[in-house]
Amino acid sequence: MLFCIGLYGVLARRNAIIVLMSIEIILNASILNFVAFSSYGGDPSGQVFALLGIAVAAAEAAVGLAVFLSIYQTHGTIELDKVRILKW
Amino acid sequence: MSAPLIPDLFGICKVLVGAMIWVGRQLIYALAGPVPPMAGFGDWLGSDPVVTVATWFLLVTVVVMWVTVLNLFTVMWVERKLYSRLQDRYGIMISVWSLPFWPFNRTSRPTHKGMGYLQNLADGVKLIQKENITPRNADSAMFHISPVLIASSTLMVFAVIPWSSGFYVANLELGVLFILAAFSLAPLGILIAGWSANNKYTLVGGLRAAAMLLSYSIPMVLAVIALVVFTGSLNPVVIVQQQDRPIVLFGATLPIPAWYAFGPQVLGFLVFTVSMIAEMERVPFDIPEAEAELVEGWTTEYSGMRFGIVFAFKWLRMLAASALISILYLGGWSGPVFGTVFVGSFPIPILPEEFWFLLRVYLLSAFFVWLSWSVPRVRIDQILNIGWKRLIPYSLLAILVAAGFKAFG
Amino acid sequence: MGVDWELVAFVVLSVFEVIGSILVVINKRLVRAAFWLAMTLVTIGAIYLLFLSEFVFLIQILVYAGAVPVLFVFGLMLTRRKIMDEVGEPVAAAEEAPP
Repeated sequence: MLFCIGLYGVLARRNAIIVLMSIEIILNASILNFVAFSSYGGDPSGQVFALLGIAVAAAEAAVGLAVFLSIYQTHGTIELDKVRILKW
Repeated sequence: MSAPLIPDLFGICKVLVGAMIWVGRQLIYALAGPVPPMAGFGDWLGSDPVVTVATWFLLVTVVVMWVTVLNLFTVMWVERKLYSRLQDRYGIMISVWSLPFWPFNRTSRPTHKGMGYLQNLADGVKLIQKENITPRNADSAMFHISPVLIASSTLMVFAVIPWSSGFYVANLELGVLFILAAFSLAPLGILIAGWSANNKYTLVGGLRAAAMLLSYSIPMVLAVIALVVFTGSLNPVVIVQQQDRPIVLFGATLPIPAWYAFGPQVLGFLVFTVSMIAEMERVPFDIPEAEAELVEGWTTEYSGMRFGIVFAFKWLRMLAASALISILYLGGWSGPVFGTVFVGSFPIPILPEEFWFLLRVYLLSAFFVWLSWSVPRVRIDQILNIGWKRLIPYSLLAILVAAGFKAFG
Repeated sequence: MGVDWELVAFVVLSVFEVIGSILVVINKRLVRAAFWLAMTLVTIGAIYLLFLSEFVFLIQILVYAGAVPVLFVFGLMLTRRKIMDEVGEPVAAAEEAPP
């Protein structure tokens, strides 16, 4: 459910930062699955993986924001339709 | 070595609640003669879950009152009186002798010569009387939510801070991590407060505050990691118990207590203290509300009691930071006890643990006040440089040192 | 009473979380979207608490509630030309316009 909402956000919105937020939601959906199944299965390795996922997601947010900042400085916008650097 | 004044706060609250419910039940059973359904209500009131829930309510109320009424007012009084004396003036002077009724309003006693303890109460009454103004173009919902968010996240810290080995709400296994998590909730509230007021000064103040708190919470957490390498526990009570012994150096027992600030953790202690000063936005790092340039920073648009809340939150954070530093590094509530008085069979120590803990907390608060009124303000780029280029490497070094001592010492 | 309180708490938290994430995705005001993102992440943390994994809960609060939305708001404010609503422009114009 959460994954689908995040996926909709990635596909439908044009502002890059909203897209990044939607990616965060997708990541949280997967982490939630890890924690839930480790809780029901009685296996703590799922929690370790959840911690890894949280760290990766935070780093990903920071790196993504840095990328969008530099895109904003070179292109003047972060609307994803108008950024044409990958469409040569 | 020392003994607490209150060995078990939950037990005491349970006895109090039991007494209150007993009185209530007597009244209800007396009423049950004319009104028969009341008897069932009285039975329900005496049942075990009800007593437990009421005990928790009373416990939380006692601790919140203890923190906000007693300690918050005291620490505000300490700050205002101390910085006035540092600036060679009298400072606040409204005390009990200023109250306008009988035992206090003596003509022989001038109203403006007190110690000033009631000045903060007078200010609070004044703030409650004022109007709450919401700016016209502000985002009103978020403008009203953010003081609640800030104040509640700061009060959550006090849920796990133990004031002695028996005076706490909850003794969590992960208490220190809980405190850090509650501390890190504030930047979001500050940023929302700064953005929603729709004022460029509050926005700049909120952005600065968020950048600073965000970057200084990293060395804070890293210093705590260096400590946890040593303690092996995140429980504050256990951490304090580990420090309650004399230091042993090369087989010789020295007459110095083994506080973590004296051992190989001294680097972590310094890093943690500096980042705590930044976390509570005191003067070397008070760029978020630099009065001379940003009016009042992110608190500019608040008025009335809302301003009082976001302003008192600074002192609440100072209290929490002092308590946290003294728990983690300065031995918490350990101290000598000079004899014990017995009331019946109930022992009352003359200098209980609460006294030693409050002594440390107020000495640290006075140190922070002294520091913040003696040094100039640091620029925002210098603040971020100190945070990222100095404190984080130092805290990583502290982790390395701690791991080395753990492995080879 | 035969009510499964854990199930009730789980359902309530899930509803909050789904509503919050929908609001993140469809919100037009980006700073509010960041705020709803924070609420979603905190409720997910509360669900971790329901699964008896306190450590993951505290790390989630520490990282997600404290740091990530603040980072996003930073990004928003650094990449937009109009950070705030202009004074008197949208709201006042709507108020003064005759119906």
